[in-house]
Amino acid sequence: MMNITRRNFIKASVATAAAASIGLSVTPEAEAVQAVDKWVKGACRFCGTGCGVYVGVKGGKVVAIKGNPDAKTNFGFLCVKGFLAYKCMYHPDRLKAPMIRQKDGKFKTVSWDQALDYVADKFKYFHGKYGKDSVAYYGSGQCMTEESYTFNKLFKGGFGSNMVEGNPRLCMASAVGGYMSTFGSDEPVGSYADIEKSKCLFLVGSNTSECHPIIFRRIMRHKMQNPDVKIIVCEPRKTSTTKIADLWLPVDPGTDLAVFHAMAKYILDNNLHDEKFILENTRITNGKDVTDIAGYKEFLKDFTPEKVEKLTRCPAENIKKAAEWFAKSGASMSLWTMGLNQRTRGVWANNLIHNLHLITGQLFKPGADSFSLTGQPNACGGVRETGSLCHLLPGTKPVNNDAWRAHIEKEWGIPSGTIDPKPGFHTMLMFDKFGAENDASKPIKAVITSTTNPAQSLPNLNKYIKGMQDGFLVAIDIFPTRTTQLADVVLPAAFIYEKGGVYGCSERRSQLTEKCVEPVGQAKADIWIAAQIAKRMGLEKLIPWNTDDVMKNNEMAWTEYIRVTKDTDHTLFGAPYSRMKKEKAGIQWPCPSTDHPGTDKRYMKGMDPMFEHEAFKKKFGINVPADREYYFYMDGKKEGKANIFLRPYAGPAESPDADYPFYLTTGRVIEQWHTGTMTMRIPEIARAHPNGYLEIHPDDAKKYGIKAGDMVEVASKRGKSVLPAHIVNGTLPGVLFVPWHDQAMDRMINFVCNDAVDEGSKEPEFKIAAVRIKKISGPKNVAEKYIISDINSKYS
Amino acid sequence: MAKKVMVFVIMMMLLAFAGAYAKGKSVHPEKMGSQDCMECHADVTPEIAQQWEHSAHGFVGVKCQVCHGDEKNFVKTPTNDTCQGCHALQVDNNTSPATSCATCHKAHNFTIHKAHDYNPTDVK
Repeated sequence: MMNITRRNFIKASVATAAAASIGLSVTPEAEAVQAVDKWVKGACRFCGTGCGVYVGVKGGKVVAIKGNPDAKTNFGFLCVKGFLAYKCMYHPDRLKAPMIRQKDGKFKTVSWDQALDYVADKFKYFHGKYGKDSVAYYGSGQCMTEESYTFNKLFKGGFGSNMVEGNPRLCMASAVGGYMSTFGSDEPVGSYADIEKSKCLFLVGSNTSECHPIIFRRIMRHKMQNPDVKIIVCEPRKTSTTKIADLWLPVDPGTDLAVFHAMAKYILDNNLHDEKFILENTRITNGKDVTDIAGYKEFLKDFTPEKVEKLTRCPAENIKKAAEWFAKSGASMSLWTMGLNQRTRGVWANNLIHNLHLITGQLFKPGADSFSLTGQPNACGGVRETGSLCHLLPGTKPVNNDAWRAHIEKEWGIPSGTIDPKPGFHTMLMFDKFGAENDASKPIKAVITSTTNPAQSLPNLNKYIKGMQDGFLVAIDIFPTRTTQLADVVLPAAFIYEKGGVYGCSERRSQLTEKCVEPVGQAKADIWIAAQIAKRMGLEKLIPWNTDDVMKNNEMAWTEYIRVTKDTDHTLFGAPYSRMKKEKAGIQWPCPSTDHPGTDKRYMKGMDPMFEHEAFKKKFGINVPADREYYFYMDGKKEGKANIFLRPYAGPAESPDADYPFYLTTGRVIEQWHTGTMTMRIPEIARAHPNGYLEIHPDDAKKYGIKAGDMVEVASKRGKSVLPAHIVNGTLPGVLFVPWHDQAMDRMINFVCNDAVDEGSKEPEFKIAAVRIKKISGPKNVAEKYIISDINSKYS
Repeated sequence: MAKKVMVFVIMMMLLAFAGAYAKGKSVHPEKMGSQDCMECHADVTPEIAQQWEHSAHGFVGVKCQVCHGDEKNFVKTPTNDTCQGCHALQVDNNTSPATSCATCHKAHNFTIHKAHDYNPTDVK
C-alpha cells in the first residue's frame, strides 16, 4: 500500500495541477479591473515612508487601494500593509458609538453629547481642583497634522498646560535631539532622491526591508542597477535587509557608539577626511569647549578597531572596510531608525552618525546625506513640526524660548503669559505621574489618548498599568485595545480615509489625503472631538473649527498652522489646501510661497529658499555671509556651523550579567503595525505572524535544551513573557529578538522592556534589556491570531 | 495498488480544479490552518518557494497571501485588481485588459530582478 502523507498528497496535487495547466487551459482569464466610482488621492496610513495612494470608492465604501505612480516616495508601489490593511476599516470590531464605563465595570453606549459633556465636566473639575497640569494629552504620530495641532493648541493655549505628549517620544525623539544639537534644526538635510544617487548606503539600526519596505525597494533597485554601490548593514541581527548587503557590522546592542568612533578614527588616521569642509562648516566640540582636528584625534585615540572589536564583537576588519567605503565612495548616505533612537544614548548615537558625514563632507552633494527614517506616517509632520510634545511649540521651537512663546501667543490671540515656559512631563514621566484622584503622588488625574495604545506600547508596562487603571482615562480609537480595557471613556474615531488631512513623512514632505467616505457608525474625526471639548470648556474662539464638515475643519486648522509657522525654517506657507489638493506628490518644506516648488536640499545656497527669506532671517537674527555655499542657519552660535560632537562612549543602561545573561531586542515585522490592532484584523496579514515568538541562536538554544517551537520564558528584572522559540542563525549568539505586535498578555514583550530614558531626548531604551531564559514546555500551538474584540474584556 | 491510489488522487484533483473553475472560484486544496503559507509551501512546492524567494517580491516581502489571498478569498491566479495595487500604470497600459497580467508575467519569477544580481562579499 502506498503511504500517502498529507504533504505527499499536496505535492501530488500540485504536480497534477501543473500538468493540467499544460494540457488543459485551466488558467482563467482575469476579470476586468474592478470599476470604482472614484479614485481619491491620499497617503498611506502606516510607516513614515509616506507612500502616495489612490483610494478606490464604490457605493460610498472604500473597496480598493493602489499606489500613486506620480508619488516621489513610492512611485506607485505599496507594501503588504499599505495594500491590505486599510480593509480593517470595515472590520466588525470597529468602535461605532461613544461609551462610558459604569460602576459595574461595563461600558454603556451613550450619545456624543453625553460623552463629551462628561469628559469636559471631568476636565473642568480636575482643572479647578488640581490645577492646569492635572489633565494631559497623549497623541500619536498617526494623527493628522491638523489634529495634533488642534490638541496642542487646546492644551498649551487654552489650558495653559504643557502636559502634551505623543508616541513619537517613544520612537523619534532621539533623532530630533540629534538633528537639533548637530545642525540646529530638526529633520534631514536631503531627501529620498539621494538614495538613487548614492554610492554607499550605511543602514544602521534599521531593518529597512521589513520596517520601511518601499524605501528598501528603492535601495534594492539602485543596488541591482549599480552593482558597485556598497551596502553596509550595522546591527545585532543579520536581518533580511542584509540580503543585498556587501558588509555586515554585527554589534552587541547598545555598543555601536564605539564602532562609529572607530570609523571616525580610521578616517582621520588615514587622511580620508575632508579638511576644507570641516574647517568651513563645522565646529568640533564636547558640547562645552571647542577643539580642532588634532583634539578630535586625541579624543578618539583609544577607539582602535581592534579594541572596539573586543568591546562590541564587531570585527575590526569590517569596521575598517566600512570606514573606507564610507569615506571614499564619493556619495555616502546613512539611513537609520529605532536601532539608534530607542536608546539611553540615542541622541549621542545620532550625533556620531552625523559626525561621520561632517568629517567626510558627505552632505549636500547628490547621494550624500545623514537621514533618519521616521517610524510613523506623521511623526514628522504632525508631532515634530507642530511641536506637539511637552517641550515644544509649533515650528519645533522650545516652549522656554521667550520670543517664540510670545510669537505663538500673539498668533493664537491669547494673553501674553498664557503659555507656560516650563516644559511638561515627557511620556514616561507623564504615565508615571498619572493615577488615582486620591493619590497625592500622582499629580496627573486625567489623560486623553488619541490613535495610540500605551497600555501595550509603553516599556516596563507593569509600572504604568495601575495608573492608567486608577486615573481618568479617555481613549480615542477605532478598535478595542489594551488601552480601552483601562479607559473610563471610549470615543470612536474616524479612519484616515473617513476624515482626510495632512501627513508629513521622513523627507519633509507633506501630503494631503482627501476625505473618501463617511465614517462607520457614529465615529468622528479627532479634530471634531478636540473642538467639541474646547467648545464645552469655553474655548470655542480658540478652536473655531468645530463644524460638521471635517475637511472644512481640517483646512481651517491647516491654514492657521502654516500662518503661525510662516517665517520659520519649517515653513509650509506656500502649501495651502488649494495647492495641496492639486499636488500629486505633496510638497517638501521649506516652501515659503505658492510659486516655490519645495526643497530637496537644505542649508545649501541656490537650493534652500531660507537663504533669501528676509522675514525669517530678521525674526531669528540670521545673517548669511555671501561667501558661504553651505550655512546651517539655525546654529545657536550664529556661525552657520554644524557640531561635530566628542561624545564619550557609554553602553546601554542594562548589560547582560550572571543573572540575566542575554541581550533582548525587540522590533517590527513587515506585516504587522505596532500593537497589531489594525493589521491583526486582516486575515492574510495575521496569518504571516499569528503570534509573537523568540528568536534565538542555535548555540544558545542547544545550551538551554531548547528545540524549535518549545515554549520559553524570557524575563528581565521588570517582567516576563512566554513565547515559542524560533531558532535562527540570523542573530549574534547571546542576543534574542521578539516582535512586539502580539496582544496576548503572556506574549506582550513590553512587560520585559526597559523604561530607562535618554537624558536628552527622554526616549526609552526599548531596544536593549538584559534577560534570562528558561524552557517552560515543549511546543504549544499559540498561532491563535489573538485580538481584543470585546470592549468589556479585562486587562488580563 | 499504489498506482491505483495515485490515479485516484489525480482524478480527484482534476475534478476538484475543474469544479472550482467551473464556478469561477479558486479553492485552496487544503485547510490552511493558522500558519504562514510558506511553512507548508517551502516543502510542498519548493521550486515555487525558491523562485519567489529570489524574485523582487521575495526581496520586498510580498508574500504568498498578498496576491493569493487567505482561505476565504483564495485565488489561484491573482487578478489584475491585485497587480494594480503596485503596478497601476502597467495595468492601465495593458492593451488587453481582459487578460490576466499573470498570463505573460509568469509566477513567481516575473522580474528581471534576481538574487544573483547581488554579489555579497562579506554577508554569508
